[in-house]
Amino acid sequence: MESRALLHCFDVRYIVQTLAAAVVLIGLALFGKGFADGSASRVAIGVAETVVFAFIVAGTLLPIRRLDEMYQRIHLIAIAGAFGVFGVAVTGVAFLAKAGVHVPPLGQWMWLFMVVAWGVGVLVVSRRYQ
Amino acid sequence: MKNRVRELRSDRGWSQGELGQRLEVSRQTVNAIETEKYDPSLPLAFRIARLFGKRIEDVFHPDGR
Repeated sequence: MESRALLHCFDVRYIVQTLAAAVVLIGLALFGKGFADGSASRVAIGVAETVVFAFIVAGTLLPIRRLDEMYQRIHLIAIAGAFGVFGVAVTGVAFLAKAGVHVPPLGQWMWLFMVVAWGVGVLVVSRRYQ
Repeated sequence: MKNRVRELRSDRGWSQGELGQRLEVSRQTVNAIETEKYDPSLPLAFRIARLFGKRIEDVFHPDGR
């Protein structure tokens, strides 16, 4: 199976809008550095960053609707697998942190890790239908 | 689940891509159905049967007969 076809819902438009949102996100992050942590302005910028990030997440998930039913099934299984793997990983890290192991804050990178796990899942699951 | 999709498609001289276009699914999905690696949903199975002018049980055989 051509993995390119499986991912064709992520077209140029998706890439452009995601890059634009990423630029806005970086701009907000840089702008937010000018305010004291905990100040109303800094919190407002944090909320704005969350809204922009939600736009990126929605823009990543919604194009799957344009795929046919078998491709949707492959993505669904891959997302479920990534969800499970990630749930175990995050909970494991939380247990280690509770046990006194120093864990760096990875919250902002979670989505990237999940997307990578999802992509690997798509490659693995699609082999079943080749 | 067994099916006669490849046989019916070949009878009409259609490629997998052509059949995919008529069903609005990808060529890879047609191939996976023909090789019986993917069982289509009930709506898609009905669309396939209707396209070939058959009843659904004439195209798909749950018990392999």
